[in-house]
Order: sequence, then C-alpha cells, then structure tokens
Amino acid sequence: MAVAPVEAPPTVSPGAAPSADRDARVVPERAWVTIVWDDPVNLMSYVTYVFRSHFGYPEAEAERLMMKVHTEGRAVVSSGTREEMERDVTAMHEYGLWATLQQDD
Amino acid sequence: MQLSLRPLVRRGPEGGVVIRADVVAAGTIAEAVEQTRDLLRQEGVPEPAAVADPFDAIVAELTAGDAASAPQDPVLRRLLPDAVRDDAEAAAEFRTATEPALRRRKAEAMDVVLEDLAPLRTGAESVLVRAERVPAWLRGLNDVRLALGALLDISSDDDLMAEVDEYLDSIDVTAAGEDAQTLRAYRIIIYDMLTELQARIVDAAA
Repeated sequence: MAVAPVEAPPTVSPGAAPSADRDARVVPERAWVTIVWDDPVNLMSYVTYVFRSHFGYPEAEAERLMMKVHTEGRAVVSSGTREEMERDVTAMHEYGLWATLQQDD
Repeated sequence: MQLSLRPLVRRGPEGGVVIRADVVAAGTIAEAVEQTRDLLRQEGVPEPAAVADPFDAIVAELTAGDAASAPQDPVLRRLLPDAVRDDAEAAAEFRTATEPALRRRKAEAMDVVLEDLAPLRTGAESVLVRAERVPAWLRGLNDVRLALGALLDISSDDDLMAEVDEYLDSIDVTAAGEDAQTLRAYRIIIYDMLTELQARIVDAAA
C-alpha cells in the first residue's frame, strides 16, 4: 500500500502460508480462503473502504485487516467455499486490490 | 490570487461528493482515465453473452484460450492479475471465465468518471458525484493509479515528488521535449494528483 515499506514480490508458495496468517473465523470444513497482498499503490484508507464495502466488516475489523496486509504483506480476508472465494477474489480485482484464492492448509 | 491545479473535494448532499477542479486538471485526469479505459477495451476476448451470432460464439469459445495467459503488458498484468498463485492451469481457467467481465466492469467505472468529469472540462467550477457513483469513481481512479504505478514501476519507498523536483531543477525548461525523463515526470505528477484526489474522495465518502 502507499506509504508501506516495500514488500518482496509475492513469490511465496501456497504451502508456505504460516499458520499465524489464518483468520480466527476460518471454518475448518470450508477450506478456501481469499488472500489480499500488499501493493505499493493502493491507499490504506481505500483498502479499509474496500473491506467495509465488500465484506461489510465494521470499521475496526476492516482497519485491522488493512494493517495486517500493510505490515505482514498479506492477510486472509475471507473464507468459505471455493465458489464464494472466487466471487470475493473477482470483487477484489474489480476494486484493484491484489488478491488470490487458495485452499487453506 | 493563488492558482491551484489540485482538485478539491467536499461532502455533497445525500452521500455524494462535490469535486471542484479547473479545466486543466479535469482534462489531465480525463486523459489518463481514457487511456486506461481504452487499454482495457482492447484485445479482450468477447464475453459469450455479447456474441450474437452462434458461429461467432463457437469461435469465441474455441479461441477463449487466448485470454487464459496473463497479459504481457505490465499495466494489464496489474489490472488483471492472476487469481491463483503457483498453479498456472487454475489461474488460466479462472482468467478465461472472468477476465472479459472484469475488463468490462473496470471500463464501465471509468465511463462513469468521464461522464461526471465532462462538465468540468467545459468550464463548470464543480460537479456533484452522486452517492451511487462514488464507488465507480474510487475504483476507476484506483485503476488509473495502478496503471501509472505499473508504468512508473513504483515501490513504496520511492519519493516520487522529490524525483520530479530534482528533475525540474536539472532541466532547461526551454529545451525540455518528449524524452523519457519528461514523460516520467509528467506521469508522476498525474499519479500524485490522482492519489490526492482519490484520498480526498475516500475521506469525504466515509
């Protein structure tokens, strides 16, 4: 995000996601997640706005996730079925955020 | 009197925002938006629903694989990123299914921005962006910033405006032409203007 320290290009393999990255709300049997990656252009306020607008997260939660992306380089922003995550990733791309989906390990 | 190129933003009635910009700023922004929109509308594979002729539809389906690989152009690659990492097949499948609609929706958001900018380009002092059009503005401006960011190869610790200042100090303005350094400085200035405009709209819309 803008004003964020530059993150290494995201070349991390999917299996390498540390467990700390998992969101507390991940439901074990619904094993797909949407990950948003840090990017030097997106504004912090805009990323928070996107998380509020698309996911309906309260301001505090949206800001927490934005800060996680900003400081850790990425964050799991939603979890659910593969189809749900495909919709979320598409929506994130529509907003211009850099997002991928993967099966949570 | 102070001459300001910077667009100003304030809250408008019923959740809208009022944008005030002079004709030069509005024209500069519109030009950047148009270029990005036109890039998104180029080379795209047509959506199945948009193809009226059954034969064309079959051809479109057979050639849909062309859309599957990530764009070579750095701007398009950032605007239309892979949805799956480290799995080229899954990424290609996802891209084939979603890219045409994604391109269209991004271009449509830019159409909204251009429509609302039009009065400013012909002398209006300010325009009201209605609440339901604010999301398209934010998405559209963000995509233009992403496009410029890709062209400028921005990383977060770049001090772009310092680079511009340094450049402006270094040149003989009477001799400055269309060289690469001038183009880069120009893009940085537009990027900076769009960043500020987007930030102000986010704040006003919050």
